[in-house]
Parts: sequence; structure tokens; C-alpha cells
Amino acid sequence: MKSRKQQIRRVEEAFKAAYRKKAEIPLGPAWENHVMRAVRGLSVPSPKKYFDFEGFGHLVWRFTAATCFFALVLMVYAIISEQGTASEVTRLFFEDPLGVDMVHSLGII
Amino acid sequence: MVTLLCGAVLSGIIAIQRWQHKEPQVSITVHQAEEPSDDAIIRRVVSGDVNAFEILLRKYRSLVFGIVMKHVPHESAEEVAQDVFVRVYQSLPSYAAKGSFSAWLTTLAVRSCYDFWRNHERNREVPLSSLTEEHQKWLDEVLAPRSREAFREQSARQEGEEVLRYALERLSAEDRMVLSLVHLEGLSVREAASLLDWGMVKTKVRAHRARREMRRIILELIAER
Repeated sequence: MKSRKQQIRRVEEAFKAAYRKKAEIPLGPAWENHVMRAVRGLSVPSPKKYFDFEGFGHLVWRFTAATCFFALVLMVYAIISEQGTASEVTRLFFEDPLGVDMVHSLGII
Repeated sequence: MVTLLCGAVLSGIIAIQRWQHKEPQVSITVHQAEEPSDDAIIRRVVSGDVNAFEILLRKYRSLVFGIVMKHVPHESAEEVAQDVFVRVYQSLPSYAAKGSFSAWLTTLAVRSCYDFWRNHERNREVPLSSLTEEHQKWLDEVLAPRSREAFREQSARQEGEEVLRYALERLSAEDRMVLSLVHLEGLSVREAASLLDWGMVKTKVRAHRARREMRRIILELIAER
């Protein structure tokens, strides 16, 4: 078992050495010209058009926990306090005990 | 107490005298051909001087190639390096001189390599390569007890690179990148997280899993011999 671990470690070390070995590709002006041609084909980068999606994503995730907590608190509050006008209207709408519709209950007609 | 006080006063006087008799520093001004700073070049590019981008391209191509060559196959390096510079050009307005330009460029280069592997994974049609007899021989020689110097020489051979490539091919794009950065390149988890734009916990967990997976692959390679 110990020797297996040693063998794995040895291969890992060999991989590190192989990874660090520098390989080089001779870069000629042709490659540079190719890149510059691609760049010239693009429009000039404008700060106005740019929208930082990554930054926005970070911002959203940063507030996720707080938003969830707030939603939970609201839910608990809604369950506990059922005397609100909205819940009364909702109950009336769903139960409709006297055969009146919502429009009547709100006194519109 | 008095001795201490006297000592302190005396050392203070000596320090003041030394400061007063300090030799004037000779300032040598070396006149060098002034190269525009990165920020100045970036401002020129953003204001519409596309040709100024060539200065950045020439200055940083070795840095970008150095990174790209480590992460993607050599035959794709030129293409990925080009993508990096196109990405840099398009993202220049977002750079805004927050840190050093080379650090920002490094991040973009690493992320381009990561994107390369994600696309590669999605469009993989070619079956994974297999090890040849030469590779098996390399593995045998690595595992044979030798001197440190001989081991190093053996490891750095072409076959070593190919076996590593074979093993990395079996990992997912995420595992591959994090393993390369943390375990092969020796970056800290924080540095790798920043380069990949991942959280610290995700990077740590991924690095651990990737290493476990790599060890499983190595074990398979050893067993296959």
C-alpha cells in the first residue's frame, strides 16, 4: 500500500516536471498581422456599450442570502398576521360565502 | 534609570549628527528612450487608435503565449492566444487601471484557456488517445528507483508531456484547470480562485477532487503496465 502511494507520488512529481518544461513556438510577424487584422475588423471598444455581467452576477449572489432571509421573514409575518386587508379580500375571493364577487366586495358597484 | 535616559539622549544626538553630515546623494539620470506606459497606450486604443494596440501585442505576446502553451495543446496555442488578444481589445474599457495590466492580461489568458477546454468538452467527437509502448516505457523508467538527477531528466522527456496530456484529457475542464494551476503550477488556492473567478471554497473543493481523480488515473496507468 505504502509503495503504491510512493509510486503515485513519483508519477505526480514527474508530471510536475513535464508540465514545467518550457515549450516554445517561434512567433513570427505573420501571427501578429493576423491578430491585428482580426482586431481591426472589430469596432472600437466603447465603455458605454460594456455591461459588466460578471460584476452583476457577483452583486446578485452577494445579496441572495439577505433576500432569502427577508422573504422568509415576510412569509412568517404573513402567516402570523392574517388580519390584513389583502388577506381578507383574498379569503373573500376564494371562499365567496355570500355569493358576492370581488367587485362587490370592494364596493365598486 | 538615569543611565538609560542618558543613553537615549546620547544616541539621539549621534543620530542627528549623522543625519546632518550625510553626504549628498548623487543623482544619476539615465536617459532612456521613453516607452509609453500601458495606461497611455490603452487610452489611445480606447479613443480609437487601433494601431496602438500593436504595441501591447508585441510587449505581452510572450507572456500570453507562455500561459497558453501550458494549458492548451500546442497546435491550438496560436488560435487561443489570438482569442486572448481579441478579448483584451474588446474588454479594454473595463480594465480601468484597477491593477497591473499584466495581471489583468494573465487572468484573461487563463480564462480563455478554461473556455477552450469547456468548448472542447462540449464538442468532443474524437475518442480519447491511448498510451503507446514508448509511454509505458517512460512510466516504467519513472517508477524505477534512480538518482534525483536521472529522475528529473526522465520526467522532462517528450513522453512525459504526452502521458500528462493523456491523463489531463480524462478530467473535466474545471478539474483540469484547477489541477494545472494549483498542483502543477503551484499557485495558492486564492490565486487560482482569482484567476478562474471562482469562490475560495469552490476552488479548494475542486482542487481536492481533481487531485483525487488524477491519483485514480495514475493508479490505473500503473495497474495497466
